[in-house]
Amino acid sequence: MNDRVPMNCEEFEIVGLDFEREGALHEEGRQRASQHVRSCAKCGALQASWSAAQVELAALGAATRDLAVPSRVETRVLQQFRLKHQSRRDRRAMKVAMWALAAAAMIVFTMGVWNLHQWRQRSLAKTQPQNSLQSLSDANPSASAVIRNGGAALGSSSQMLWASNLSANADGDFTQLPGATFYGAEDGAIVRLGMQRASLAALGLPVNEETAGDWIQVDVLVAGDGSPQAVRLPQ
Amino acid sequence: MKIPEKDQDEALLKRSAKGDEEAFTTLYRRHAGPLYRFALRMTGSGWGAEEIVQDVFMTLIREPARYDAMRGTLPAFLFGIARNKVMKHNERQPREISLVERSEDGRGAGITPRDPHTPAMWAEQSERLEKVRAAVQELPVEFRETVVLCELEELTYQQAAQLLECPIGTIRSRLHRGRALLLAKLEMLRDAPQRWRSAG
Repeated sequence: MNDRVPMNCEEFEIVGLDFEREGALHEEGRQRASQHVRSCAKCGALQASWSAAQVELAALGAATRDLAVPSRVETRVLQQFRLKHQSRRDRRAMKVAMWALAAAAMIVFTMGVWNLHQWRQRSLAKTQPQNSLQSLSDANPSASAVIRNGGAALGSSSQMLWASNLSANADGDFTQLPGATFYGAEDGAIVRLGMQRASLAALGLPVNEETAGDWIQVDVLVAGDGSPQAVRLPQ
Repeated sequence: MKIPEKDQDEALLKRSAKGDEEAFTTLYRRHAGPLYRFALRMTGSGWGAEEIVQDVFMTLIREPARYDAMRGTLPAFLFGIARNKVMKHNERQPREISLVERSEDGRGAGITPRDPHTPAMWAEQSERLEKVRAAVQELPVEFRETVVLCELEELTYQQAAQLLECPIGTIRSRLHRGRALLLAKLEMLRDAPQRWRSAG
């Protein structure tokens, strides 16, 4: 006895038309549709009509199944692919190059600044002793010979300790010049100069106007950088 | 052990996103054919179908990250793009008349009967196929794409549902309505010559 509910026409139209198609209906549905199409003339005609249409659709499907994409499409697509990835590679290389260039420029700039700084320090170190001695020489032309000796003394005695020089040559105490900073530097020298007393004013010392024209011997304590630090009047 | 095609697609896509041309070519050759046929059957235009296939793969080249493996397969993703392009194409050229297009070897790129025994049969079959194609072409888009996938591409309902990203029930319902429309059109086509013959 078959206790399945028979399929009606409406249901057949919706789900039963392709009951023969694989996977379209489960087994029970397929049997009900098959049963209905045998018993209903209208749905049988519909089924026959659809089968004829399916043949035509299958023929159309078969006629177009082997249609392949024209090779020009593949060429164009691959061209775009290459273009995109080539330009990406180029951009990446350019970015790396730009960073490398920037880093190199930075290094060159830093080295340049450092070299300039070094060069300035060296040139300052060279010019300052000459300048300070030159200023004294300008203040008192007659002292230039002594300055030359002093310069030589400065060069030759640069290895001597400032403190030992001071004790060896001291006839009196040194007077620190205004603005001079006493570091206790190891490089330094005592330079004896012959000058008019008025020239002491150039070093910032007070001068008595009455004795300003007197010629005196002055020991100048010159620091390693050439700047005069202190003076004394030898007895 | 065989690697599932889905995983192969993902691996190929990852490689092609990094610039591997061989991987991209493999992907293209694997999926371009079905996409082209779908686009051709949906638009009825060879040039349009070419443009659509090209656009689909251009999207894959430009934005490979748009594909999310969690949301579906790569073919479904590509079909989704192709469907949008088909819609745009149809909107842009709603009244486009397909001209006779020539393939690269100079032959017609249109529908060719597979077993033409005689020139007369060939001509008749060709004409008939052209009419069926026109009938399919006249279906509304949502019915047309289910008819194209299920009847012409012969996909199962499950496969069609995956590609169109909709439930199987929707496929059944669209197919039902599409078939009804198609049957009516084909009946008219079938009756027309008969009526003409009986009148003659």
